[in-house]
Amino acid sequence: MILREFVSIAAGNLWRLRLRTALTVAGVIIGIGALTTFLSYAAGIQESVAAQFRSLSLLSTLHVMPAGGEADSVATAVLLDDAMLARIAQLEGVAFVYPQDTFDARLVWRDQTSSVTAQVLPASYVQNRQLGTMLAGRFFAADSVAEVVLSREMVGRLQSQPDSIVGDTIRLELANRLQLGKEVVLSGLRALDLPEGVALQAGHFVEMFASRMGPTELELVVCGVAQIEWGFGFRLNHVLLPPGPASGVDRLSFSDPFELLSKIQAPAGGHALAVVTLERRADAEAVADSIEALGLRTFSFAGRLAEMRKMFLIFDLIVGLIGTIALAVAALGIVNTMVMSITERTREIGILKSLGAEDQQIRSLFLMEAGLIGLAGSLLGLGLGWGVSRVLSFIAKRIMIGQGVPAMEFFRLPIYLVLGALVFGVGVALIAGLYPAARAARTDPVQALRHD
Amino acid sequence: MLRIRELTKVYELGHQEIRALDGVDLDVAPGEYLRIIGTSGSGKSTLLNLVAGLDTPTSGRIETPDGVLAAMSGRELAGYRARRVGMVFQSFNLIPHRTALQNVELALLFSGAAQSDRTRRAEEMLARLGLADRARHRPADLSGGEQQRVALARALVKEPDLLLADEPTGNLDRDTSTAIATLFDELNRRGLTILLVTHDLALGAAAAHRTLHMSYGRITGEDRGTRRDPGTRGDQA
Repeated sequence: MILREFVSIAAGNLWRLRLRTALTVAGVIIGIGALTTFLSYAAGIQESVAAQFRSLSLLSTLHVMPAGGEADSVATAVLLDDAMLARIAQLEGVAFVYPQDTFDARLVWRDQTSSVTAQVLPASYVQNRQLGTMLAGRFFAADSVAEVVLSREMVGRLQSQPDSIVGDTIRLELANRLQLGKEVVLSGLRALDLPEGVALQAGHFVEMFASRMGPTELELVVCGVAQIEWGFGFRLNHVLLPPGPASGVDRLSFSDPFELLSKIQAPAGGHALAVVTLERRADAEAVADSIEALGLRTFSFAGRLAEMRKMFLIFDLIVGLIGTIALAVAALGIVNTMVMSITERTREIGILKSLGAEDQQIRSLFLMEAGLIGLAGSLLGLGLGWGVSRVLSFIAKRIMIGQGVPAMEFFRLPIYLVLGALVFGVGVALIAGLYPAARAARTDPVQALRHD
Repeated sequence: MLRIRELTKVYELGHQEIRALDGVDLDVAPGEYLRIIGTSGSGKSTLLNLVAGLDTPTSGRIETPDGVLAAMSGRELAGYRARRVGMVFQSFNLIPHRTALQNVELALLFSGAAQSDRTRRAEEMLARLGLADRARHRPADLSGGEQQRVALARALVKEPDLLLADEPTGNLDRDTSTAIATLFDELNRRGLTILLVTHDLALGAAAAHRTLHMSYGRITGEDRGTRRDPGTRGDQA
C-alpha cells in the first residue's frame, strides 16, 4: 500500500472523530509546549551567558588577587601593587593587565545627585579590552586628565541625554562615605561580641586610614557616554575615571574585608584585584600558574564557564524531565484514544483483513494515526511554546528595563530544538501507539467480522 | 480450484470442545457454482472462513492454485485474499463512514492497483451493478439491496477467481434476493467460481452445479443440479 493512502486513511479516521482527536492532540500540545518553553529558556540562558563571556572576552581573562585572606597570612601576603602589575605584564602570554579599583561616592551634577560606585581604568583600556559603544564624546585620552566616562544608565539616572551632558563637570563626594564606613565597621565588630579592646584596635585602624585620606571630592569633566557591556561576575561600573585624579583619593570599599585589610597594611599602591587579558585563550592555565608562582591568587572565567555548563546540563535535564512528564501524560491519552478507536473499529479491521490487508499494514495504519496525533500536537505545541516564551521574554525584558538592567534574551528556540521537539513528540506518540497498533494487528478477522 | 481434505476445526470454549468442522473432504472445480446449505451451527460459515484464509484449521488441508493455505505466510495469505478471493456477507460489512465508491476502491488498495486505476475500476463495477448514481452515498443512505450490491461490487472489482458468499440474501427481501441470485448466476456463467452458503433452499437452486448439505460439521449429502458440470460444453451458455 502506498504511504499516501495510509496518511489519507489515517487522517480521515482522525478527522471523523474530531473532538476526541482534538482532546488527544491538546495533551501533546501541552506536553510539547511545556518542553519547548522550558528548553528554550535553558537554551536562552546558556546562549546569553556564553555571548556575554564572548563579548567581554572573559574566556581570555584572568582575575588576580593577593594571596591569603586569613588573618595570620595577611602580614606575609604578597602585595598586588603597580610593581607587581608590571611584573605580570612581562609574563609570557599576558597581553594587558590593569588594576580593578573601585570606590563608593556620591555623584553631583547640577541639582541631581546619585550614589555610585566609581571605577578607575587606565586610558589604555579601550585599546586592549572591549568597553562597549561610545554614544557621545570619547574615552579619556590619558591617565592624568580630570575626565570621566559615564554609562548611559547613569546619564538616564541624572535625567539627561548623552549628547547634552558631555563637556559638563560632575563632582564625586567621598567624605561622608568614610565616616559612615567607620561607624559600620565599629558597630559590626561590636555585634560580633568581640572583646572591647579588639574592636577599639580595629576602629583605630580605620581612623588611621581616614587620617591619611586625600581629597574627599573630585571635579571631573564628562568626556564621553558609553553603552557599557555587562557580564556575569565581571562588569564595568557606571562611572569610569583615569588613575590620575583617583590617586590619593580614599578608595575604601566596605564590601570586601580583605581589601580593607590590604589597604590598611599598604595604603599606598596596593590593589585588591587586577584583570589580566591573555594573548590566547589556551594560555589561561599556563599564565595562571606563572602568576600563582609570584605568590598571588588567580581566578579563571573559562573555568567558571565550564562549571556553569555542568550546572546548565543538570538544569537542562531537570527542565527536560518536567516537559517529558507532561508529554508522558499526553502519551497515556494517545494510548487511551487508540484503544478506544480499535474497539470501535474492530469490524472495520476485520473487513480490511478480509480484503487482503496484512497484519503489518493494519499495524502501520494505526501507528500512522498515532504519529499524526504526535505530529499535529508537536507542531502546535512548538507554536504554543514559542508564543509562551515570547510573552515571558517580553515581560522579563520590561522588568529588567524597569529596574535599569540591560534587557537580556532569556529564551531561544534554535533549529535543533525545533527539530528535536518534533522528533521527540512524534516518537513518543509512535511509542504510545505501539501497543494499540499491535493489538489491532492481532485482531482475529473472523471474530472482528462478527463484532457489533 | 480447491481441494479440501480431512478439514477439521475445533473451537475450545472453556473446557468444552466444539467441533465446527469434522473431517470435511471437498473438491471444487474451476467455474463451479457450489451451494452449501445447512442449519445454523452446521459448520458452513466456518468452512467458508477457512477457504478464505481468515481462519486456520485444526487439522486437514486446503489446496488452492496459490498453494496449501496452512503452509502460507501471513503475507502470502493476505495476497491470496487480496487477489484470488472475493467475499460477501449477510451483514454486508461495508465501512459505514466511507462512500460506496470508497468501499469498492478499498478492495483494490490491497491488490496494489494505482489510485487512478482504482477509481476507474470501482466506478465501472458500481455502474455494472446499477449503482452509478449511488457511488458517492454512504451505506446508511442505501437500501439493503443496494448495500449488498456495493458489497458484491467490492468483492468483484479485483476480478477474483473465487467468490465466497455467506448468507448474502439473509437480510434482503425476496425480490432483492432474487435479483442477487440472478446476478450470481450471470457471474458464474462468465466463469467465476462461487461458493454460496445459505439456509435458503431456493436461493441459487436452479443455477448451482451442486448443493452440499452440512450438519454437525460434516457433509451429509450432495445434490447434483440440472446444469452440466462446469467446463463441459454448453455450461457457459
